Amino acid sequence: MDGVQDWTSMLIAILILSSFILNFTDIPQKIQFTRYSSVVRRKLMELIEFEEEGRRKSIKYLKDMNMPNPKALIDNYVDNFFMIFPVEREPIDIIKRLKHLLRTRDEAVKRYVLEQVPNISEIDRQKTEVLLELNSVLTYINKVVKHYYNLGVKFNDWIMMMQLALQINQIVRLAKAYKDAIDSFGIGAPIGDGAGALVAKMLLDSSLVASEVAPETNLYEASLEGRKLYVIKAKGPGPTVGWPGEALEKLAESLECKISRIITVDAALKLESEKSGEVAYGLGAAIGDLGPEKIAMERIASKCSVPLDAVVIKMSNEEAINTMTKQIYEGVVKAVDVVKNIILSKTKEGETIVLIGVGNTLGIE
Amino acid sequence: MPLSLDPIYILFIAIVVFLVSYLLVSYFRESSTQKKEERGRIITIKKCLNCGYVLSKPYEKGDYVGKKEGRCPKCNGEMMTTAIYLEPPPQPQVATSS
Repeated sequence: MDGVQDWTSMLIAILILSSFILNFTDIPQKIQFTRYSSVVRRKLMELIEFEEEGRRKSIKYLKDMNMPNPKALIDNYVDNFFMIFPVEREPIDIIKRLKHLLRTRDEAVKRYVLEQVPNISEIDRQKTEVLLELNSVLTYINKVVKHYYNLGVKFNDWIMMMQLALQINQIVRLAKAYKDAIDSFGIGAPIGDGAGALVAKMLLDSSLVASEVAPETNLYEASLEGRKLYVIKAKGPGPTVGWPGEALEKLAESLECKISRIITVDAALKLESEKSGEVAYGLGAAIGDLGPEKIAMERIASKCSVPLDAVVIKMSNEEAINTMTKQIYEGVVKAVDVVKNIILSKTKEGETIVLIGVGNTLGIE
Repeated sequence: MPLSLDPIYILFIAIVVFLVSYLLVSYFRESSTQKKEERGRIITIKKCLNCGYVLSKPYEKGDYVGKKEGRCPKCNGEMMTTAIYLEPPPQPQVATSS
């Protein structure tokens, strides 16, 4: 029994000592800090690898487009061309100011690519712009994670390190989606975000001719079961989203508001419990822009007193920026039926309907 | 000297076993989630504008929805690309017992 008593006393002593260490020293936090910082460090290595891989792949795709110096093109773009958002404290004309800044930035990026490669085709120019943007995003994600990691190490901030360690898996998942998107845009096949544009395309006859009603935005005049159908979508097959709000403004003006219904179709981010390719419909403008295009649609709908329908195809963030999956394509087919059903059940023969297929039209003419 | 099975020993062994198995489980869980993902293959669907014949082929660079290219093997009509999507990789066969 002596042995047992010795062990028991030792265990009690260890418990008291551990309790003292746990309650009255910083040792547990230091241990946690070391564990969490090692997790973040490992994931940071992955993020750096994503950035480098993305850069390598982009250089390869740009070389395929006969770019003279793709590395310098990317290096000079990343970190530059940022946009400072307009003052929100004074909201008067904020949309006008935001639209102006977005247009100016777009023009600056376009000019930058054209200065480097003057004889580039429109599709290759658009692809180059997207590849530059993706590289910029990957670099930015890395920088932000490194910033918080370095801050945590500098100030021994174990709470910051713990928060970063808990969020890092989601950040890595997002960065991986952007890295994979480089392949999708390099290949040129439609991406998930193109679901809205594909719905619009599927409702059009192959013989219809488009007119460019706004920059990089096409307008088609079609008919469906005795109704006049105007279809607006970005001009494909390059990776662009166009300016659908501005196109609608111009169309409504030319039609003097004689519109019976506006239907918007777009990809929408799904919740984790939802299935990819699910289709849902409701009211409002289905568009995920920063504001100017959406507000233009809402203003036209209210000015002309026209119902504004929204049809969405659900998908994850990763699916939205990567090659369209079969599941999403099946959702697109369902959405076409939903749009047809809305047109046939909610409008009469002879009426005019505007359909806007929102989204990136890569790989869709 | 034979080791007596004191409750303290049992507790000590249980703690060691728990810690080792926890480490092993976390290691294998992490390595299994890092398996290389299969991306599947991109398919181009072409449809004859005349007879509606549908043709499926692997995606080639330069294909886009709305592209009119090639002739229908059935009626020699014009073919148009109507869809391009990523087909999921084939799922591994699960053995079923009857």
